[in-house]
Amino acid sequence: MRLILVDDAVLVREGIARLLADAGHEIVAQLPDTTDLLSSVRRLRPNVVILDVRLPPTYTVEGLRSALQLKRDRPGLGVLVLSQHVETRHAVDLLTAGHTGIGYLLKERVTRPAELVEAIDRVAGGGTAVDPEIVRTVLDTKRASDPLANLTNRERDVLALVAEGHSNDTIAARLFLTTRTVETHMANIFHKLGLTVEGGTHRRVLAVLAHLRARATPD
Amino acid sequence: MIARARLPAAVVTAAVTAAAAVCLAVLDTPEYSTARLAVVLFAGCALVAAGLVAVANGEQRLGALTAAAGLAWLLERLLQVIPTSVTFTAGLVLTGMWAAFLIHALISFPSGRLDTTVERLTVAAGYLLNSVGNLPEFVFVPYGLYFPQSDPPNFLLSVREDPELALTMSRIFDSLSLAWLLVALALLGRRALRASPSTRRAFAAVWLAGAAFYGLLVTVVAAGLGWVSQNDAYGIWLERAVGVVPLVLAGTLVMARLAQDRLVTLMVDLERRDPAMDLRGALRRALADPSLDVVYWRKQPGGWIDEEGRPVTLPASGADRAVTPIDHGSEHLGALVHDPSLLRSPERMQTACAAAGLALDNERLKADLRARLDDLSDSRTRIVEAGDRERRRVERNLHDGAQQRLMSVAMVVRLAEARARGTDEELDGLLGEAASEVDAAIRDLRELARGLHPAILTDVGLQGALEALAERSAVPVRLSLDVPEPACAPSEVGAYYVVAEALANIAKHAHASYATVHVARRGELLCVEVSDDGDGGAQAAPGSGLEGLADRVDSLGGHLRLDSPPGSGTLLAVELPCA
Repeated sequence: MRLILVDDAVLVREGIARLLADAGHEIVAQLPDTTDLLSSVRRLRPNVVILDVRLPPTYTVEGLRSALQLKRDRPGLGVLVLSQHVETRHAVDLLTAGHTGIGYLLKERVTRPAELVEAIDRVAGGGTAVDPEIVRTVLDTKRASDPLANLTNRERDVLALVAEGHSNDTIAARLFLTTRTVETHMANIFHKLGLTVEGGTHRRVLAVLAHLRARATPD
Repeated sequence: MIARARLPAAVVTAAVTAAAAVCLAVLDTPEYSTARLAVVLFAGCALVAAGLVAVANGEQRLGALTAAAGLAWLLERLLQVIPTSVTFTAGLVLTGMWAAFLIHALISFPSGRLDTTVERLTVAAGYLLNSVGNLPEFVFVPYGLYFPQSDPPNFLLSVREDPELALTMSRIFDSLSLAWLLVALALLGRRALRASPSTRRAFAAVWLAGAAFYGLLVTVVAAGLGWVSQNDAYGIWLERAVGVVPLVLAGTLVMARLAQDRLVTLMVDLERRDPAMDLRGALRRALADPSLDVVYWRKQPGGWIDEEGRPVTLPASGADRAVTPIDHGSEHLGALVHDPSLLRSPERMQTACAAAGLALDNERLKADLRARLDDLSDSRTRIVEAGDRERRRVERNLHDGAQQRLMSVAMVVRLAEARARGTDEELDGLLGEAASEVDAAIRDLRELARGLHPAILTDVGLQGALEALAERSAVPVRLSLDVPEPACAPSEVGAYYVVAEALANIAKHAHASYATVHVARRGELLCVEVSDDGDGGAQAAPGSGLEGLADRVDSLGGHLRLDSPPGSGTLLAVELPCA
């Protein structure tokens, strides 16, 4: 797979490049900021762009803005944003912009190459990748009247994996269940949360995240 | 008040005046009609009386000059009508001396002192002119022509009778008199012009009356020279005017005396030591200077401050403002910034300063305290701001430095782990362990950095940052936010810390089932309210997070209110300035 890496920290960028190269990916460009990103994408036609959220010149959410711009420019391109922020705000901003083939991982996920590579694959295939810790934050947010309290532990596990962007098959494999059982859990969960199940995994992620976040803020 | 030593002098003066007046009144003289006699007697007595009033008000020199003018006025007229050669001669020599005295008094009003050489020369010329100046004329006058009585008095200094020479001498004398009067008038005008506004206001009546009087004198002399048409009315008006001048003079001095009385009132007020007394207002009233200001001396670090404790610069003493320091021993207490006219009454200033000195020490301590409080508040704001800056810097350094390096270490370890996999199981395991430890270190560091400074506040503003706080709160949070974007930077950080600390406290101590966070902008205030349904009884104990919060809010110029009755929840309400 052809990848472009954008990160101003050279050490980390080189490290990620080595990890991904080791996993059989081709790093077609490494950029310190987003100045030449759009032209590089047009020229080099990567499958996925991986970019840090905190980039020059503002060192705030430069990467987030570039990610959305890339998706608007090339909807088919996979974009994976790496962030130091556990706060769910940025993730939700990115995921709810209406694009598929997008991911939001915590930066430290790069120290788990297998998970990073898997997320890249998912994003490249038009899927969604949400960092498990972000999902956990959302699920753990305390609420006065919590519909999640009605879920069984197993249902919560399934819900977390749905929110991370996994397909039913992957969830089944991860939890050592049959796909059928996962589907049953899904139906129960969505019924308990008052959601309707339609469309692909991304829609499911959005539905779950939006629901949970709506509950997380003004109660 | 009349000093003891002055009493006999005053009594003698009054007695002599009365005697002269009575004599003049009883002597049957053809040239004085009853009406004119009344005018002349009034003028003389008024001058002497005004002189006594001046002495009584502490203006001895002025009083002596005015009384002398009155006596000279009466004696000149009296002696001239007593039909002996000696008195007649003395009366003629005295001619005009009253004018020399009166003009001396007017030029030197109110102190009786002359300021410049020109003034002194002019006054001296007046005395010379009116004593020996007209002798050259008198020694040639044919007195028989003027006094068609059987036995006219002799002018004992007569040389010979020469009407033409006498006329020439008279013209020379009148011309010199005219010049002298004009110079004197100019000097009076100069005094009036150079005086400060409040002096001018106080003395305007005297100067105007003086100028009018000079004008009449000039007219009379000019008429004698034939430069304006001869008219007896001028002389009559002059005699009336002479009586008015001392009235104005005495009136002005009495007004000044009243000002003095105001000083006494001030002293009585200050003596009462009423803590609510407005010192500046009292001094303004006492010294009749509405522009007066009081400044205080600050020992540490030195410098002048106003009542509010703000540093002030003293104006340079000059035509507009004057500064009178109030000292206690060698130490400054404060100073009065006032109209320079007050310098003309050093005694009043001295009295006022001595009186104010009592109250000033107290006021100075208050002003000093206020200044210290301002300094303290400023320095605390600086410390909090510096602290925030430093935290932001450390957070940034952690992120750019240690975090990145740890991450690259973790990646290298993962690579090594991948290489070792399948070849060396033990090494694989060790490397896996190492990688997990590094991961944990990265997570710890991330939490540490976030505790130092919430980057999300900079990234997405207060609203997003508060949502993140609510998300991570261990107690369910109801958020109600009405935050304008962009809000006001220092208060935003303050509001964030208030909510963060309050939620942490609720999670730790309150045993609450939920918390409510309400943030809204009301006018120029950012209002933050965090409440819960927990145990209550919260206190800002020393060293607690709440105390730190109160300090932070205070340093931003805000207010913090904690309402936490035991058993019925806690409300923390904070208002921060948000202009």
